[in-house]
Amino acid sequence: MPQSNWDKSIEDFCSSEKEIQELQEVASLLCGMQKAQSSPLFRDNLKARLMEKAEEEGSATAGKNSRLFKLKTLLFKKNSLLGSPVFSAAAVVLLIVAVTFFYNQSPTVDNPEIANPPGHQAPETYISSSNRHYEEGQFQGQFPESGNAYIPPGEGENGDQPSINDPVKEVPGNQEGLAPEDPEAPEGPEETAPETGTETGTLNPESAGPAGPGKPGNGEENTLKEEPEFEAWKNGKVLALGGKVKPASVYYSVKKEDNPEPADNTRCTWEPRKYLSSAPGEGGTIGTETWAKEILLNEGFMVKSADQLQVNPQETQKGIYAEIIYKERKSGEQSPALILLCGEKEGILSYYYQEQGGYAEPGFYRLLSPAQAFKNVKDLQWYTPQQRMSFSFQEVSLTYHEFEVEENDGKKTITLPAYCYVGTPLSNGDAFKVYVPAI
Amino acid sequence: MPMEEREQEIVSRAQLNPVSFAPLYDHYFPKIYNYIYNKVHNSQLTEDLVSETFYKALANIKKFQWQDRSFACWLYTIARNQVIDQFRKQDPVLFDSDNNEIIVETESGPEEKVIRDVTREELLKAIGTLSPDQQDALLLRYQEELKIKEIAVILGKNEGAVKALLFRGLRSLRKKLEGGDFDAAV
Repeated sequence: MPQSNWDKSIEDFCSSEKEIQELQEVASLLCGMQKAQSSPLFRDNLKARLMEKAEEEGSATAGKNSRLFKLKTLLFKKNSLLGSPVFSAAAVVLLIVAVTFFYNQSPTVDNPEIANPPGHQAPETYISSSNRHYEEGQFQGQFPESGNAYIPPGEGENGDQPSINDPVKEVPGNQEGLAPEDPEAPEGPEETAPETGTETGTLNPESAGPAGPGKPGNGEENTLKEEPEFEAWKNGKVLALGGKVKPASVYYSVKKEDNPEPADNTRCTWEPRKYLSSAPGEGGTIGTETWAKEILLNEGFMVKSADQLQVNPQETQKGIYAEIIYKERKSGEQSPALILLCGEKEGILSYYYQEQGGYAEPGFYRLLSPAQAFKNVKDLQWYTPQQRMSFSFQEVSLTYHEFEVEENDGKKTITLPAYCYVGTPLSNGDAFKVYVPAI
Repeated sequence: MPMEEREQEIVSRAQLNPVSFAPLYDHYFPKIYNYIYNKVHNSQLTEDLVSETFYKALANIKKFQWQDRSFACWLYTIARNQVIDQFRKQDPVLFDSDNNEIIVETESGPEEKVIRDVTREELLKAIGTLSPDQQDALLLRYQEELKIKEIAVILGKNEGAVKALLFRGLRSLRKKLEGGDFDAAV
């Protein structure tokens, strides 16, 4: 240990020379502990993202400074024209008030949601194909009379959900209108430029007029679409498997090499941490980032500031709807973008993910909700130190994972979108993860 | 120009234009990463918390003021708060099973006679059994090489309290390593 790292003052606490020496040994051990190093990929990626954010903030600051400079110049000019000190002092006060007011009202603020004037769509850059989401809406869902639940397209009248154990299905795919990802599109929800959305009548709720979000004036009703239009609904597909997914084995606190006995009666519960009310209309204004984060957190997705989050609200005659596009930041790992379609009255309407083409044809694919997919956890083969253990899972993330699929011609390993649940045994213990197909 | 003054200049520039944050990131990234990893023992979680730390630092750098604390203190405080928030949420601590390399001591010292074959993971586990303040004091002092005064600012304690934390932390760690009960830790 470098001598400079040892604090002589600590020796005052020691009872003997021997103790001083012993503590020096431990301090030396700590000093010599090898330092943790991150992957260069993560370090560089994070730096790039931070610099992108910094550039945005820098340009916003420059804009503010420029306006302030002009106003200060104006103030001085005005002051020189006024000979009377009393009058000029009053003028200065008035101008300061005006400057403050002007400054506070400035549309160039960090939050693009606030910056967007009414009638302008929320920024979209995160997934370039989403720029088309509202261009030519062909709503395919069915809206029953008010009070009834919405039936998304492709679910059929009985509302069947696709299951991992479904037999082989040929799924119609409509690739038209799906653009490959624009390589020049900036990443992240922050790196956005306002885009006009007058064609579709989209509305930024935070900049809504006195009528408030979802309550347009009488003269505006005719310009609103009757129903929401989401690209995922238009072109959404179901990912079908050529066989049955073989349930994975979960080894908790036992080693596979020891050939443990399978555990019976393992009980698992899915209890996502609720942060705030998820009731529609109670959790912040629909279409805002705060609202989207709350929806995701209540579903068990741990949204972090480094993650990519985009919210695309649209106002219709039936109310306000929003598309949440969420992609978790994972270094060195390709995680799919989760897409939630929500309505202000209905809450979450459907789950999709956007496949970029790495594991299936590019496009939007239906997903089970985390709660629905969690039912398949019971199919997992559990190996635990004791029988009848209970586990509680609170967090989930969407990822890709390899699963074994039993097909007619044998077993195959395929990569599927999967929910990764993080949980712990109720009797306390180490946290661990289980993966379940999300389709 | 002394290091502290130079850092002040860099921070001032970053406060005027966030793009100038890059040198601060380059300098502090390995330190913050190491500090957080030693607290949470999990690469993925560390990456998340490191990201959060730097995003918060960038977002709030204009609010930072040179008073009684250095930029390093401010940054480590953000990092520490991220870790505290994480544990408050009772998020899991998932040990990386593939990151338990053996510590290679480059200097032969008397510690090798008593505490030998301690892997990095074992040492971290033993540290993990200490109180959070003791952990912070030891890691910030002996891994991050901060001054006691700086640690006092980060922990919100006086210097005497930090010295006491260091003493008690070292003594507890000594007992745990001697007894080999770090396996039962965490």
